[in-house]
Amino acid sequence: MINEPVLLIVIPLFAGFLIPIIYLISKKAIKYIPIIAVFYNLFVLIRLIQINSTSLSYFTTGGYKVPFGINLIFNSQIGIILFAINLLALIALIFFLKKEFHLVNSFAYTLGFIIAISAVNGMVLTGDLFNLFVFMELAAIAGYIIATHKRGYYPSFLYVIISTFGSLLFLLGTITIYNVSGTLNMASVSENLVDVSPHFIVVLSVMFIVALSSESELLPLNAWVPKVYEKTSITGSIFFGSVLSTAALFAVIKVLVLVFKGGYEYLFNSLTIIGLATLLIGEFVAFKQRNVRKIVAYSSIAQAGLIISAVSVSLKNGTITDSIFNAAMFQLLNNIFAKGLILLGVGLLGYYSFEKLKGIAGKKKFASILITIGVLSIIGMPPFAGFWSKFFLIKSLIANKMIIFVAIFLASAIFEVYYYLRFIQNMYYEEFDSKIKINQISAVSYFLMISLSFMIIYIGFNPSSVMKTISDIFTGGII
Amino acid sequence: MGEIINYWTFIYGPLAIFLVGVYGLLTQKNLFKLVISINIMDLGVNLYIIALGYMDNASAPIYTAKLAVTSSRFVDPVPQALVLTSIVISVAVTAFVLALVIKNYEKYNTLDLIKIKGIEND
Repeated sequence: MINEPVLLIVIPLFAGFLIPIIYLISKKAIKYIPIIAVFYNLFVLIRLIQINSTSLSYFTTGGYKVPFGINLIFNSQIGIILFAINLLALIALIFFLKKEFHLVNSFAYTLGFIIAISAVNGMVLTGDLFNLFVFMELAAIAGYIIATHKRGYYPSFLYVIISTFGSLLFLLGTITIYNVSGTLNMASVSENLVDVSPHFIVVLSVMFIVALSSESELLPLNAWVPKVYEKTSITGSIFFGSVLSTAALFAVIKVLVLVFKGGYEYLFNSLTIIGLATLLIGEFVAFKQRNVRKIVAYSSIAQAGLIISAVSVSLKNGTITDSIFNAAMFQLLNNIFAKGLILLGVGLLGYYSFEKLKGIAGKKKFASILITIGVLSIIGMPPFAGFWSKFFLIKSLIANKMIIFVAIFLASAIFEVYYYLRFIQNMYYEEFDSKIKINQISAVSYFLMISLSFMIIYIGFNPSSVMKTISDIFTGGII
Repeated sequence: MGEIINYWTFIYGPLAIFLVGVYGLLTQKNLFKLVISINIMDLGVNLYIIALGYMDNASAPIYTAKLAVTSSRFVDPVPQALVLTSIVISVAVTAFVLALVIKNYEKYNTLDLIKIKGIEND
């Protein structure tokens, strides 16, 4: 029974149902339920990664064989990515329970976080289009709640409106796909789409691109991202930056690979353009910001654009160009840790505007060094993790003669390096304003930050072996 | 003729309702009206799902002994199952957004999107 991936979805959901009951008995005891659930999840994941091979396998639910019924897709590579996502969720949760549990309505937010974890696992695992819609909507509802954690009601409202529009478009697309292909199973859909007229596929794919763009922070539906990142709590920002956005990006990539794998060149060309536009606009707007959280939000948008454009370039020829695709997935994995570290560290310093962070490194040396590790990883400096994923990406793009792509990528990297280094310079070399109150950072928070930077340094020193564990996610034999 | 009317009512009608909702989303400035626009879009999508599962002269997809004898046709049960889920989700989202509208009103004392934006940027 422990060998079923469905446990990763069911256990947090069950914990979510337990919370109201336990709350009636003891108001403090609900603290421990999410921690136990996520620890159990990690334990199940380790076991699943051990016993599953690198080839894709389907886990059916309810005894219905594929393509009927709901199925989950799992292999050890998906397990690794899920492990990273759940690890970040655990770190965010530990921080939440230590520091932000008493902020506002603790009951509602504990519930929101645990439901978000369940939905995120579902988004990564499911192999069914309608099921993906349900999990996306569940993650979004949890996200709306998380966004209001520091009374950010207006950003949350914007998020609801934009994301509901996206998910309704996704539902329209899903049901239309069901009508023409007769199935909702992602892998079977692509086989049945062969006879459908190409014009129809264009309409469908545009619908899907717009629909999925809201959750995965791509253009055109990403207007909510900077506002929500700015107004939510520290835990909330880690959830959005490292957990929800990663899972949504993974879900987009899964839909692209499994449903539209049949070589729809125009779809992938337009996606490449959308991705690169997202990359350039994200970096350019981040360049002008003087608030660290907004910088991370726009840089997160830019990274999503980069990953999606790299993935769509790799899918253009009808088969997956493995080297580019693997490098993009490696980049996805590295971003989880680096973004989590920066958002946690800056949150702990307590200030987001450049004016208040001036010279704070002199007062908080160790925390500043840890934040710098995250920043250097995101901008791609050796020996940290981010350098290797960008290096592999550029190497494989040049090997496939995508020179224009590399040029745009490097041009955007100049912006990125500039605004992140300006942040670092502001922290280290400016005069500290003695009127500003310095926040105490507890040992637990330091431990969480150290463990994140340890992951970044570990990946930085073993890039090939880590990349090998997540490579060929979808090409290892589709049933 | 009847065929055309059917097609128009069942496929393009719901899509038109969906577009009415999109129009409302793009033009309205009142938070409450935005929520109603979302609901109109929901309605359009739900009708569209049901329309795609419809068949002429078919019965409900409940297998009984009587039905086996007359061997009449079923309508497709999958869209009906999907639409139930979708309705439940839209009810939940609407309830949450309405609570959010109240919270916004408490915080900003207005429901006008432009005014709230102005207060936020100050």
